[in-house]
Amino acid sequence: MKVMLTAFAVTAVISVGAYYGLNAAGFDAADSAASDYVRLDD
Amino acid sequence: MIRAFFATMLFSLFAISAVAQEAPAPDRTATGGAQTLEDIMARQQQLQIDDSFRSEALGNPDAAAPLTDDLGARGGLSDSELWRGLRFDAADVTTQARGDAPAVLIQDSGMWWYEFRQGPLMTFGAYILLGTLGLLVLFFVLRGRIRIDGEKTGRTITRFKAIERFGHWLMAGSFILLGITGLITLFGRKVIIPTFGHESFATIALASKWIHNNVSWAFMLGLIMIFFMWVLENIPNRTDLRWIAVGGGLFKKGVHPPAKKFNAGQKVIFWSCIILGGSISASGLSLLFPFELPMFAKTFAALNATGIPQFIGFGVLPTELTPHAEMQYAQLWHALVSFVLMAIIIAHIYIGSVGMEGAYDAMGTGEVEEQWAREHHSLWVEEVKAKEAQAPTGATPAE
Repeated sequence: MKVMLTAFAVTAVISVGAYYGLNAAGFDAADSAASDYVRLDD
Repeated sequence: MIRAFFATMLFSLFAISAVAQEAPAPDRTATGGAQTLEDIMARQQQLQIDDSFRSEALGNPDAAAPLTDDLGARGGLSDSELWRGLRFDAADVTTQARGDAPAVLIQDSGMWWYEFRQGPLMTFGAYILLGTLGLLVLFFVLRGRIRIDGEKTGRTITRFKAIERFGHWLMAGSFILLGITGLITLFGRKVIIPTFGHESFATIALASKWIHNNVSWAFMLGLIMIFFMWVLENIPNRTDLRWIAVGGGLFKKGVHPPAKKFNAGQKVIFWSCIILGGSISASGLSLLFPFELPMFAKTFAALNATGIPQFIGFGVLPTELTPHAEMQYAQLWHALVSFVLMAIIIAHIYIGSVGMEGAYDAMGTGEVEEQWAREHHSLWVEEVKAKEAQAPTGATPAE
């Protein structure tokens, strides 16, 4: 039971990490689709 | 196995087009080669039309009348030719957005994909999931819970180490989340919006998308973990034939075919997870990074080379796909394979919980009742006991 709950907790950590990690690495939809001439976040 | 699934996919994806009748080519001399009333009527009757009279009539700027002439057009193309170029993805479109996808302004296979997704895909999914649940209820009513037949010993035997259970639950927990959120995404418009309204679904869909996209990494990690931990013990062998011959003893009380650590049924589950889960992961990655990882044009080319699509009657599959068509195929394949894996996993969850006494302990605490192990994995118990007997006497456990 402890192992199962640990795995679920790690799933949550991986998910949050993936979200912030991929966004920080420029894999969000806006960054991926817009060219350099598009001013994002301005 | 892989070919079988490709065949299933091809059959599913092209079933509609395969049965559609082709309309005879009408005489177009009266319209100078342009479409006729017969063409329009044929389309309205859902008949297939050879579109080459339009898709190839894209004009020729080199041979066009100059702009200074009465019939001259800027760029050497008439409006109709320009629109046909856009319609058949032959126009030279440039955009400031990244990638090839934004340059496709009209993508007509989108309607086919949408109709397939809203129709046959949902129907197939509902039937396979509800059918599996129905069969399991029937099995439970007829067979009841599979009990430990012999007398319990009170002794336990370690079935799975903590790291094995961790990998299993990492994959299991994430798969359930992915399954639920995937179903919400697919059935949302048809089921949730009419029931809860647009505003509620907007929130549910947003949360589902976030969970589905990000939890997927935990699933893939779990998949890799269980593959490396269990692959050697899941290689099929002769014992499996004996297990399959008596249905694993699932249908008759007191029947316990010998099995090693994993019986044939568990091996089916394992390889289903690896092959189907791997395929779902591949198409999922393609969807997760839109237009970055196209894989169907190459897959279709490889399939064409085998001759299977031609043999089945689908003809040569398209090997030049628009970026959007790649995503559409990825979505359909992702959902189709997921439905199959979900059905298998529902059965796995049943037999690992309410369906069999003592089974849950294997993944719960990792310690199973010795009598349970002897009934379901007798050869494995003998191996474990033999190893224990070989261990040096007086050895002290490592601190």
